[in-house]
Amino acid sequence: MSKLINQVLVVGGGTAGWLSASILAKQLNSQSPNAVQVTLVESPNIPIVGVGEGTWPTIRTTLENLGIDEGDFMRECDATFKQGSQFVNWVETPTKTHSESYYHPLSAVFHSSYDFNLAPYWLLGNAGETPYDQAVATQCHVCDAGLAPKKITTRAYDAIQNYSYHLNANKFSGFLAKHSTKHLGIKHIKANVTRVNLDDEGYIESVETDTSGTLSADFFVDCSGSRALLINGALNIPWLKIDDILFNDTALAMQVPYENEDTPIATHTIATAQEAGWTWDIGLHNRRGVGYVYSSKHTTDERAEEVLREYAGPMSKGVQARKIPLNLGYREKFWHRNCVAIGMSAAFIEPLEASAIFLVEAGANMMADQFPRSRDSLQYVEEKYNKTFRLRWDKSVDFVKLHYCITQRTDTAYWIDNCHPDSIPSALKNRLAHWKTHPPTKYDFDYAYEPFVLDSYLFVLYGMKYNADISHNSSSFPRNEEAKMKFENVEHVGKMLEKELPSHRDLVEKVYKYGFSKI
Amino acid sequence: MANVQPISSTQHGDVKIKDNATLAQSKNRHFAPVVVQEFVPASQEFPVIFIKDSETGTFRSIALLGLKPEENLFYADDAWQATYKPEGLTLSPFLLNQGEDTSLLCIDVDSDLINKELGERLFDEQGNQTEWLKDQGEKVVQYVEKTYATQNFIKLLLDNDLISSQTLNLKLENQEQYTLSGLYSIDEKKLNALSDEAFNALRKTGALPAIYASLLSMQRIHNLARRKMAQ
Repeated sequence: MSKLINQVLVVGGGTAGWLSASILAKQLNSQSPNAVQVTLVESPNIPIVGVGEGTWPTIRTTLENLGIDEGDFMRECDATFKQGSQFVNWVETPTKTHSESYYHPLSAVFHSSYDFNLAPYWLLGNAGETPYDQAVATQCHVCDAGLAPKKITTRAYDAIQNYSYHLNANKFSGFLAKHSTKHLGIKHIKANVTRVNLDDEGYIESVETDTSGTLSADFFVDCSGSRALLINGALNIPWLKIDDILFNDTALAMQVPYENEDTPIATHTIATAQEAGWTWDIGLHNRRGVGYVYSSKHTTDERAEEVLREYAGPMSKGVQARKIPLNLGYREKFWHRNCVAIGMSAAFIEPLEASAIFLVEAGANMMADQFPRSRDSLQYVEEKYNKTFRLRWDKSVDFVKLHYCITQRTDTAYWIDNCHPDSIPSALKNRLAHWKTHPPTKYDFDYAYEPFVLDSYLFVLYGMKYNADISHNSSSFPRNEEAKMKFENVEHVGKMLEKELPSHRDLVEKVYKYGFSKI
Repeated sequence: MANVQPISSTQHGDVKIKDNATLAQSKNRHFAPVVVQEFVPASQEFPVIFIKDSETGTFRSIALLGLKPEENLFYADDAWQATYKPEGLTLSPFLLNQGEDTSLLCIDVDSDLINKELGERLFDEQGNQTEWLKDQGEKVVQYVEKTYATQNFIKLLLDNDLISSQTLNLKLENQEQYTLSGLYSIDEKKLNALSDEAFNALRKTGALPAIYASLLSMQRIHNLARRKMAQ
């Protein structure tokens, strides 16, 4: 047997580093004496970027598997419940008196489109004038009413309406560091990596640090963010840009305090289309995270700050806006020899669908599950991993692009350019052409690890009013009565939930005080 | 909501408290709180189980009194229909308002037991507490201490992972069906699977009689079903 892999070194201590290290150490049972040992080295003085404060519902399973108490996690990370995203002004140019929006909710109770796709029945008018999101998902009503997705008596990590979290990413890294060094057997070193050493075969052998000497390992995880110390710095894997598809290259971020202690907290991300990009608005427990993601080719930094401040409102007065350059794209390979890049070192798509942390979880899970214990088994996993993640990123790019390229806005060059056929990936273009006359079905999403599936596409397509004309084919959809009953049921259950569920802030305050029970 | 006021001779000098033989305030309650010290006697007549407090999500021990919300099968206009009276119900309308340093004996002034004609007086002609009131105050304080012991008992159960969520499905002889969810009970399998060490530790805390009382009391659901059929 070839050289065994017994030591793993994770380089970088942001969300990607700590999540990857924790998931790996848990899966490999690193606390036991004969197991793979996981060490994380992080710079004591490079600030964490804090990518995205939004997560996906998968994070609940991840945290529960790591043995984390939900109440502790929420309290220590200023976390709140996220039930979806609301897209404001993406379809048409707003006027002073008119603004429209649609939801992409995280659950679609009673609308399991895999069993019975309601979309064609909605297109044929069986839900009357009700917009698609409101017609099929109770969660839109819950979001509108500012209600929590569960009750204080609901078991930890269980949901009444599917949910994820909005969280303070810096605090989340610190929380994971504390938990995983204490309970998962991860060794933590604070030092700056100054040099990466390769062996004769081109595998990484060790890294040198300024204060902790040389750290050797058999396998390396590059979570060093956009600096990509290992995957690029040492292994020279190039970065593929996607700026011909997605134009946003700059973000301006602010932390805006609430007006007072009982200001309602939105239970969804509010993404509002602007003249040269979009603003995010994320309600944490103690503040809103607000920012503007934009294309510097289509506006100036000064104008962008004006737009952001106008959106953020009077509470943003005197608050500093931090400029973050964004370099959208991904590595030609994510896994190379004995190194895998996870997080911003691997890829970065703008935060529109909050996929950053999700893709870290997905990457770490696959790495942990397929973890090669000897050097000669690396090649097989490397190929599989690269293939899977190339596909996941391509699909994520397609889905993000979908939000832009079917808009009816023509008020600025930004929106016109976004609809230019040359900027639309061909796979997406083909789908859109087909979906003009046929609503998407489950067979359009046949890949097991597709990051965005049928429901997500339906919410965005019909939220964007990209309605298929299927009137010529109505005879293929004879289950009208059944569909009508389902639409009525959504309305009925929505009203019931409005009576049943507490307000979002109310539940957050209670969780911080009492936590959730594990049973 | 209860309208709670600290007891004072100036405000409540002429107040009298009626005898509460029927535990009238529980008329529309399908459960009553019980403390761990009364698990054994209460388990003779009611299922003694656990629910989550709707305000805090924390566990409380209760005696189940009905098969659906707002139903108390042990209430009747003339007398309480069981031999055992859950202690918490007998304290009405008194309760303790606990501050950081001191605790104040209070009454729920909305209680129907409060009047000016019938029952026991709180204060005598000189405005001094009657022996009866002192006695009630003593009982309330003792009860609150028992609730602390109960919280520790529940924590012990949770730490040992001995409580499981339980849905009670019941079909009466007349084919009526009842489903009670949101209940939690001692998990017999997990109790049996405890290591000798953990079981011995439980024994030493004196928790075993209450644990087995709760376990056996699940059979009292048939007592409730019988009462329901007799209605």
